[in-house]
Amino acid sequence: MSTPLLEVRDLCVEFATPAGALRAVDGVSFTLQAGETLALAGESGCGKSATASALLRLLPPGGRIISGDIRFEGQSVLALEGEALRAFRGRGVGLVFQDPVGSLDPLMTVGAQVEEVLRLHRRGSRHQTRAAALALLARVRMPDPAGQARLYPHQLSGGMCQRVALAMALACEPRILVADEPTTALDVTIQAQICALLRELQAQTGMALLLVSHDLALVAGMAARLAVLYAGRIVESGPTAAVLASPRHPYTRGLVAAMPGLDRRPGRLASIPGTLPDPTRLPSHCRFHARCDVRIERCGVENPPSRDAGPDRSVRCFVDPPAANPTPEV
Amino acid sequence: MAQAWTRDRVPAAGATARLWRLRAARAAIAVVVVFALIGLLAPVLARFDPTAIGTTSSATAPGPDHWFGTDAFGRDVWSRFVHGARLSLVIGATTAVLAVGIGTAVGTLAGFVGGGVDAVLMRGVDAVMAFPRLFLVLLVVGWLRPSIGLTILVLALTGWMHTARLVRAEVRAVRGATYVRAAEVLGLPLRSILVRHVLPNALAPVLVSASAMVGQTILAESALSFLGLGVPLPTPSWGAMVDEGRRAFPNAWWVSVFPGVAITLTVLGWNLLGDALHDALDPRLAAEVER
Repeated sequence: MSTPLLEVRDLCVEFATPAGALRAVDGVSFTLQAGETLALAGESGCGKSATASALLRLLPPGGRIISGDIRFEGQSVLALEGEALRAFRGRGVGLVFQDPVGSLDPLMTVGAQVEEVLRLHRRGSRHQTRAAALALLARVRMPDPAGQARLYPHQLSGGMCQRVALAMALACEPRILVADEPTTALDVTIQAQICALLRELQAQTGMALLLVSHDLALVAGMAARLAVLYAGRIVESGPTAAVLASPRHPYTRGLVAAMPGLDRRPGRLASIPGTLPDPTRLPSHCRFHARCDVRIERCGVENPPSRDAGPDRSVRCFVDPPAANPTPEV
Repeated sequence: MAQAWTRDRVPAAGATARLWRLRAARAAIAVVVVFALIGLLAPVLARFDPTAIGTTSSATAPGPDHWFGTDAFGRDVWSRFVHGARLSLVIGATTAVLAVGIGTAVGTLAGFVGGGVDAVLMRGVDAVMAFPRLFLVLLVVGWLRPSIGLTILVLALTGWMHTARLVRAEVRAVRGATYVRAAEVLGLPLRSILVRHVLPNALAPVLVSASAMVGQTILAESALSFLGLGVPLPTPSWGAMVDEGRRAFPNAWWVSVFPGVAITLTVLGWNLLGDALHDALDPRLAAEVER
């Protein structure tokens, strides 16, 4: 197989806290090929956003990559400094944030913000830059780009701000777009529009998409592959459809059961009892042990390694899924 | 206007228009401008030498010759009043520029760099703040000859800490904002992030603070001169004039009342202008103003 566009190997991220080192990401590995979409899913605090920030070497203060490697086009990102790091951030990886309004400078018109990014990466007259900015805004399907470009972020809706943020990320023509909960702050119809736009832009540019989300319905519609994170570890990964249809890890089963669906009886949604383990005192055995309904004695002693679980799939669990939920074996 | 959006950095034109729409701002600007004009045109407006003693008999009431009357030494109060306006303007503006400059530099450094630099600088601010301003003035005036320059220097060196704290808090908040992270993700150089995104967003409270500081400084200078610790006599200062009139009050009320009212109006004007600037400079608040 050729070199993947992005390869993350055994990534560990720690945050210094008054209570001690907090291991937010613990041995996460995944690869991303050009043009594909991978989703990192999990609940709050599972380490999905920390993974995304670490990719860009933009961990918040106190955060540190303590081991592992991130390779972009075969080159280690961790070794990049100064100019090279800036170029990687702009042209290698773009990031779209959860808070679309907050990710734009409130004192600058959105047109000027798009232009600023354009000027960073290509030379051209003021007139050319403006034309390019308007073209970008049109590409992210802003109605009336010339009119909207004159407005300030607070004058635009959340959905429109997210389109501007996308236009800014696209201005650098990144090979990978990391979307950190890109639709969480938006209402449902706008979510669908942004998702459609992301797919369309991906088809046009061939960029890879790393979708960070807690929303399995969104993930199901967007991503070909899915990695489920729990307490800083990938507990299950594989093709999205297969993972959601026959989850192998009890945590994934819980998440799938908690999804509302049209074909389910209305009533209370299922939930997973218990909470995440304290990330400053992670157990040395399986991290899902305390909340697991299929645990065996071994789960309270050892940490399950990642093992193959069907084509392109892996799972971190000692227990095979119950017979009631059979999986086709190869 | 249709093509102006690309260069619309700090929306200066919009801010001016919004400022004018605020009623309090118009009043404040009027007061500030009137006193500034009086100060600038003092040599023209003054009808007598402000320090000349005995132009007429002492302590005459306001009349056609002496619009604001004369003081105990027979000096023309109107002439002293307009020269006092000039002095207040010079001291207020110069001190504010100096103090806001120092405060902004210290605050930006502390807020942007953070860590140990921040801790050292801010403890320094705490120490200077704990030192009583009046005591410092007494010390300095006791050692050195009082002069306008010395007054400005002392006021500036004891007046920058508030701005430093304000700017630090503002820069820290802006530095953590998502749009600053977004700019980093997009690969913008750190210097242009600081200049184009952090400082403009931290700037509004600085302008507000500068405007209010002009008022505070005028008040502080008046207080020092009232106590005889400010600008040396017989230079006309509003504070000193209030003090001189105090002895003849209430018989020769005009000596104290005119400069006293002027102090109140000017300080009020600058403070109101500060508040109005705060509202006008923020496009988000301005939307509410326009409603």
